[in-house]
Amino acid sequence: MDPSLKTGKKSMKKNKVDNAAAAGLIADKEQVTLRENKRLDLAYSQMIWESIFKFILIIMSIVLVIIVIGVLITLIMQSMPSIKSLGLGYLWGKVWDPVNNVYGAYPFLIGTLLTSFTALIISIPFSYAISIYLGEYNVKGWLSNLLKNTIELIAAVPSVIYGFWGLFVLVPVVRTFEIKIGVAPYGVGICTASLVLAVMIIPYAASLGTSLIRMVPSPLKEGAYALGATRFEVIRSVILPYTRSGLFAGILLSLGRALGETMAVTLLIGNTSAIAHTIKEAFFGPGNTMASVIANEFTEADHTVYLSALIELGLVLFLVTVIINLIGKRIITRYTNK
Amino acid sequence: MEARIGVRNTKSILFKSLIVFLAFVITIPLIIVLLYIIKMGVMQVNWHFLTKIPAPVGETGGGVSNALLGSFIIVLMSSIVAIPVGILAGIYLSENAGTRLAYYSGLCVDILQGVPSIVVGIVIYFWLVKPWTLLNISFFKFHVLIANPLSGFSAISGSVALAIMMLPIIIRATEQTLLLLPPSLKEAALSLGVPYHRVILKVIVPCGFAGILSGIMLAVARIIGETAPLLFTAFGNPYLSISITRPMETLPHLIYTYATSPYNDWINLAWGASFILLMFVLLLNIFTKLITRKWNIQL
Repeated sequence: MDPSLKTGKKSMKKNKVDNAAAAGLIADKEQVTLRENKRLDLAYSQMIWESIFKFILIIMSIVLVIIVIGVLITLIMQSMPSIKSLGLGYLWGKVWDPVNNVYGAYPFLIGTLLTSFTALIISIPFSYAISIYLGEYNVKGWLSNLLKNTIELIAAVPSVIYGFWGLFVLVPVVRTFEIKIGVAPYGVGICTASLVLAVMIIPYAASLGTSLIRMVPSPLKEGAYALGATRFEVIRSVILPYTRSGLFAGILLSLGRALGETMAVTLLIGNTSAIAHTIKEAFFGPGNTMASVIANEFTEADHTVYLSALIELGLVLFLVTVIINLIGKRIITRYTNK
Repeated sequence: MEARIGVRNTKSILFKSLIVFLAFVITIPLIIVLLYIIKMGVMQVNWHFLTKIPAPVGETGGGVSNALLGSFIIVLMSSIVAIPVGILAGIYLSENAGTRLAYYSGLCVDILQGVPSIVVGIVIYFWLVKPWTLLNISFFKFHVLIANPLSGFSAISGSVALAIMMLPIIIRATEQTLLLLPPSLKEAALSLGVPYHRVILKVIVPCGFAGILSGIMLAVARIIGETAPLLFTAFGNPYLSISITRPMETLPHLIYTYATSPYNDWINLAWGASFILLMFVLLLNIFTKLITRKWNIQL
């Protein structure tokens, strides 16, 4: 706001009143001046409000940047003790034994990667199928809407409820299966957690894939049909190549979800920090992910290095999910602007 | 030649049936989970369940009134923080698209959307729960102390954590809705001499109200089931408490603690709580869908 405007207006007001008094004008003219002044005042206050409003908008978006920078700084500062005393070797140290002050993140890195990628591999056929069905075979109509909304409801169910349900329904099922194939029947473990996780992450890739497949230009598809291609051939050689990078971005977003998912995994993974020796054991036996070990041990961590080792896990988790998400978002923006 | 076409057509039909099968088979887990929770939970819910606090170990009965009230208070507080900030930041992003600040805050929204909820919990723990002193100096008669005003698990810290999780959803919903509005709307209002803030608040925001509202409802539905950020912030409390500077129980946290407990009574309480939480979240989602369909909004 221009300050000269303010003084200018005031002096104008004063002049007008002075002039009126000096000339001895009649009462109704004074009334007019007053009314004019009121309008000026109103316009003036509106201008002040305008700049205040714009200022508030800017503050609010600065707040966002501050929150994100604050999160990053807090995580780095609090994990400093562990970075200093444990060094980089922490990330592939194989033993996690807080009682004897030995820390290694390897079991959790492996657990996180194993659960996330198993869940991803299970979910990919389903999310591709949903995307193709809703994007190509059945674009409109009640059935399409119903399926689309049902898939979105899968993402709406709180993760703790998935975990609770899995603990009481899926775990016994997995246990009988494990007895049949002859591995130790824990029930809980990486396999169970991955199954539930797979269902939870499907909606993220599926809804993105659907909208991308719907955006494929119809001249491309029509051209392929005109050359005599069947529906399957159109999908395989026109739609999928055209949407490849977009579908990949959807999978990245799903992966980001899977890496950071906490509650369902914590309830189902069995929470042990020991490393399994055989592949079978690693897949069916209990394990731990980065998120689940934080959830379980954060409030119990009683000395500085222990606590900051957990926070360093959080920092790694934060950086990995942020990078995966940003790459996914970047691909989508490039794809939709093309 | 005939045979070749036959093979290709069969392939096409087989592929279609595979796609249809896979697309519909995935609704089965959802239906199973829904039916199981309803079956186990609907028996638990009665007047007693809604008004009593959990019974101690060894006694039967009890309810989840503390968690119901706690969830309500915490979600209300986080909405009070997140809704104005989210809408205003969304307005900034849609009005100033292309500026450097808008680019960076848009990036931050993307980052916040992907942050694992447990990391938010850790960070808020260090901001609001853990006692800290930033500045503690005395000179002459003055004593300057900048320290954590709360220190200790509290409902406020839980609300702040959930508010941070709400922000990206509200901001994106607001931004997308406002970008869809025709620019002539704003131009018409400005040409009549309406000041900028009134154009935004009295013309633009009411026009996009349904979209913003559905964003808010989706955000509430998302955070009411969040457990991970509350583990280290609101913490949980077996008693009925309305003090916002004290630990407070919430529905998802109650489900988490009681689901892993060895007592059948407590597990039954968790089933009942899951039923209430699930119904609330699903109704909120379906209601949002109806709103967005009526106003034809794409989020």
